Parts: sequence; structure tokens; C-alpha cells
Amino acid sequence: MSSDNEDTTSSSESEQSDSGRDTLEFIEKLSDVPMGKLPTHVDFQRTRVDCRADAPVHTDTFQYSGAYASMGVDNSLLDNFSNNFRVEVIRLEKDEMEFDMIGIDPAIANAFRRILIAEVPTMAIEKVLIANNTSVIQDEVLSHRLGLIPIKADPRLFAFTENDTANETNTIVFGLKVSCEKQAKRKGPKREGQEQEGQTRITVKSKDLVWLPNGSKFTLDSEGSNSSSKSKTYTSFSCSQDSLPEFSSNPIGPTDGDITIARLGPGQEIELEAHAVKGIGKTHAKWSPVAPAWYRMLPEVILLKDIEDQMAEKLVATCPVKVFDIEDIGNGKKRATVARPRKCTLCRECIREGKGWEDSLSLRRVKDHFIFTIESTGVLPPEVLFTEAVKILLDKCDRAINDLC
Amino acid sequence: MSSAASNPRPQPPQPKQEETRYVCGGDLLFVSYNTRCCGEEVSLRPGDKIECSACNYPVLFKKRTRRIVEFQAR
Repeated sequence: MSSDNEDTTSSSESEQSDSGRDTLEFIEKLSDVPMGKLPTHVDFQRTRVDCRADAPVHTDTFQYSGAYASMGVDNSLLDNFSNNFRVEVIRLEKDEMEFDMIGIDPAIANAFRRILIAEVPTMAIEKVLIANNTSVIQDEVLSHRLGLIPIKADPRLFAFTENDTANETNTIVFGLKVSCEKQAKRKGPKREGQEQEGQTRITVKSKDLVWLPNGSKFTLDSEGSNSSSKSKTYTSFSCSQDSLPEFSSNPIGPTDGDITIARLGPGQEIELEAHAVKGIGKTHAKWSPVAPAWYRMLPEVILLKDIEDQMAEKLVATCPVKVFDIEDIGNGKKRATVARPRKCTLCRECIREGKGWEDSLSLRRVKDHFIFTIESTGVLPPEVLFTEAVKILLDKCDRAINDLC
Repeated sequence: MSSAASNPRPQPPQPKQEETRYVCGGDLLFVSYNTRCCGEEVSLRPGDKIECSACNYPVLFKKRTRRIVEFQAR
């Protein structure tokens, strides 16, 4: 075999491959050929909601993993999720937090919201034993009001009530005993809750609820109760709750001391016991730990054309939440800029007046970016509530998997 | 909104009881609370004049018994 021969064959091969590469490059340059990437307009439909003056378009999400298979793009949820999901905490206060959940399907974001509202357990007053209530507020209304008071007690330390038996692991007992004396008798220092000196009525507040760690003090009247050494009460506590290490340092009470329960006139009194049990918001809203939890998709405001001078000023004045600002571009000319797109509430006021505005301004929502806000009632900190919600969703998934196996 | 529990409403006091406790209603019917504010507890026997002993107001309310009534807080 001669070396010349080899040279000629290799050169002809390289010529062929060169021409092939040229063709490939030419094809790649064509705008509508998929290259493992979605064309811009399809990607826009997939990731954005376009908000027009009349209605939003492309509002649905594409769930099917093979939706873009013909374009060489994998649309499976899990890979995208595990690679791209992230959480950014924007604001964290005692009872409120705001965070961004990025790269998540709306169905899952909504699941978290619904679990927070309806399925994270808390403690709330469920049974009210009224010994005396001579106030103008009816027994039924009074007990309903009591039920809605948020109780600051960690629900994870309590069990759900079974067979209607109240013991120290599932019930918190509060006593309320307030009376308003006759004006003539009321002398000396101003009573707590009495707004002014000499005022005839007092306001019963949630701080008047006294935690009874030993359980109910009301005895059940039965035939042999007076003869037996220890009469039965409405609860059967085996030990005092404040002897337990969880509660000895952290006494239980309402989250807020100044929630009005009732007003008393002279000679009126309220004496009752309230039993708080563990429950979920699905049963009754009083057990909901959030007030409330919500999310919105990240707004995206894009200027498609330059908006200048008078039009810019008009645009800035139109927006009620001040999304736009004006910048100076020299020669006394002004141009509108998008300064605070996150504030956009999608009122569409800016694109409402005529087609011209809609052509120069585009309002969008990012489909997989959620601005999540949790406002806690004070029962648990908001970040703990969210982790509890995640655990509940995990439990649900485990249950579903076990059922299918 | 709410439902009364199993216990029935309190029964009226037995007839053999001689005295019955009442609360004066003097503050409930007049708006000017500063002048007409009573709430005095009054005990009456059969035949007594129905009147508050402190302010002579003729409307009296029967006192509620201390029998425990159970309600569901809903």
C-alpha cells in the first residue's frame, strides 16, 4: 500500500465531511429547525401567561412528558424539578413570611396552599361548659367566639381525641370567670378591662382565659358523686400538664391577650370552662393555622417599544402600584422604564386604552415562579407551618404509593 | 352556628323554695347608664312587692341556675 493512495482517500473523505458540515450549519441556521431547544414562541407559550387587555392567553401548563418529543425536548416534570427547583425567602417576620418558589408546577404549589389552610393541625376550643352566663351575649354565640380564639400551644405535642375521652395528652382546659360588680360596690383600684374610672361595664378579653393544667374543675353530677372520696370531673387527667417538660417552661394560653370575648354590665357574670382539642381546618375554619396562605405568579412587565416623553408620563401616572419610572436619556428626552415589575397586580390599567399600548407593552406571568405568602395566626411560626405542610404532602404521597403497590 | 349539647336547659326552681333570687333590670331598659345602673341582687318571698330594694325599679330578672350546659364551639 503506497502512502499516496492513503493521502488521496483521506482528502476526499475530509472534503465530503466538510460539505456535510456546511449543509448542517445551513440547516441549523434556519429559524424553524429544532435543535434540542424549543423555538422562542413555543417556549414563550410554555413558560409565560401573556396578559392581553381582554383576557390572558396560554394559561395552561403542559403536563405530558413527551409534549415536545418531536423537537428533541424532554418535558418530564421530575428532572426539571430536581434540577431547577429553588426557594428564596424574601421576608420573614414573627407571624408572616413571603418566599419565592421557583421551578414548581402550579398543581404542587396549590397543594401546599390547600394543605396549609385545611390540613395542618392546631389546637382550638371545641367544647364549652357554661356554668353561668348572665351577659347579653347568648351561650351559643359566646362559645362560637371562644372557638375562634387561636391557642398558642404546639399541636405536635398533642394527640387527636379518640372516643371522646379527654386526658392530658389531647385536651387543654381553660377556665373563664369574670363578673362585673354593681357600681356602688366597685371602689378601690381600677379593675383590669375597665376602660375608665367609674365606668359601669367591663370588657372580657382573651387574657381572662386561665389555663387549668390539672384539667376540668367542674364535677359531673351522678348519683354516687357526693359519697365517693373524689368526684369525677369532665376530664380525666392522670397528671398535671405543667409538670410535663414541654409546658413547664412555656405556659399555654391564647396567642393574643386582647381579643374581645364579651362585655359585661353591672351584676352580670360569666363562668365557664373551655376545652381545646386538636383538629384540622377541613373540619372547621377555627383549626386553620393560617390567615390565610396565598400565592401569585411572578409578574413580568416588558416594554416592546420605547415609550417617551408625554406617553411615558402618562404611563407612570396610570399605574396604581407604581411599576414604572421615568429615566432621562439626554437632550431633554424622557423614557419610561420598568422599575418595580414585582409590584404589578395585573390590573391591566396600562394596556386598557387602545391597541397602541398593547403593542408597546407586554404584561406576563411566569408560570413556574410563585410568590408565596403565609400569614400565621400565631399558633406556629410561618416557616414551621410550611415544613409541616411539606411533611403532610409527603405522607399523602407515601400512602398513595403504598396503596398502589 | 351552634348546637346545644345533651343537657337540657335549666329547670325552674322547686316551688317549695321560699326565696327566689332576682337581678334588677334597671340598667337594661334605660340608655343613660350613668344614672340608671343597678344590677342589684334581690331576694323575694311570695307576696313581696316586685321591686328592686336598691332603686325601686319594678323589672326584675330571674337569676340563672349554676347547672352546667355544654356547647360545641362552632
